[in-house]
Amino acid sequence: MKTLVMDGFGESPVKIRAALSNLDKSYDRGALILIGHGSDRDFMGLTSEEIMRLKLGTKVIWFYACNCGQSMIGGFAGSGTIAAGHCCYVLRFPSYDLALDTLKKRLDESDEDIDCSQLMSDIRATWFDTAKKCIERKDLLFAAITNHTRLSMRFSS
Amino acid sequence: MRDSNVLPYKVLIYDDEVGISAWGRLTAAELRNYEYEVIDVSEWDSALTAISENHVDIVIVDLDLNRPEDGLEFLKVLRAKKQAVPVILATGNNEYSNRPIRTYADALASGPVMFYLKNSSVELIDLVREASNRVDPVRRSLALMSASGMGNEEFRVDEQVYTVDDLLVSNEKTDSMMRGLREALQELVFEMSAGTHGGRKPK
Repeated sequence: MKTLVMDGFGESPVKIRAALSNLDKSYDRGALILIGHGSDRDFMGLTSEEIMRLKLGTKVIWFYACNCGQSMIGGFAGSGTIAAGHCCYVLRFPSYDLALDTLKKRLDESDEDIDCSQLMSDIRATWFDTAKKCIERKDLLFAAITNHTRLSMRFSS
Repeated sequence: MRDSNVLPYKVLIYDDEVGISAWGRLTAAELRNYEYEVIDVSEWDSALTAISENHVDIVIVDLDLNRPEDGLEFLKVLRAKKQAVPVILATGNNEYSNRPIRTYADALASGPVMFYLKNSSVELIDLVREASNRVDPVRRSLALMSASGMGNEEFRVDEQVYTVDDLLVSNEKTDSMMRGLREALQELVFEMSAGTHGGRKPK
């Protein structure tokens, strides 16, 4: 499954809305990872209703964000999309890249008949192994952050 | 012998007696034998400065100081500066050891505190080892990163970017973050020991 990453950090909601609108025309049944921040009602200034009105057609939508991701997943799941999110508010940059790479790789390898529970379970297992390796090399901080990321995952389908 | 992969805990000893036979100096020498890194000071101000500048893991302070304030006052000042390090209050003075426990209620409620009676059957090294179990592992990791020249390494917290050194300054935001990371670390260790990962639901 083709995975697209849209990094909204530092971008305006207008630009994100435009990018998502363009995506509507060219992207179908893939996975979309949206990186950014919002509030408990919106993601980058866009409410779940606004994003859903764009009819993205993605099979998986993943909010790599904070509580905003968590607040969005229920609405998307109702429309048949596998939706996942984080409420992971602290990221050390290497752990951020690593977590994102793991996620993207796993989504890339998946097909459209992806089992959401299995997907989440696989990603959790990968991050658990990463955190365990950090403990073994005594990098407690990285271990804590990686496990925090793992425990922050929420999903619905 | 120390495991070369383990960085030593940093202990500060504040005893205002001076001289080669002063308790603080002798204790510092003893702890160095056990490969702790020890900062030995005899002045109030230099003790506070050394604690904040060196990211000390454990503080040992003599209760009976040769000044109006005693070790309990020192602890109060330390806690007011948001220093949550484990503190060992040491005394050889019966006046302190015979006091009722309520005298120490505020000290005990302020964070990890232990008492050491000089010349008792308890070995100080055992107390120091116990105190090292109560060091915040997340803050210690940050302190070690800072000491290794990684103080400018960045973290993203919500929409802000912080450095390691920023996070070592205790405030409402960083304290809450530290709590979250400590819990994540404890959960990881628990799951590793219990072999339950994947079986437990995330919080």
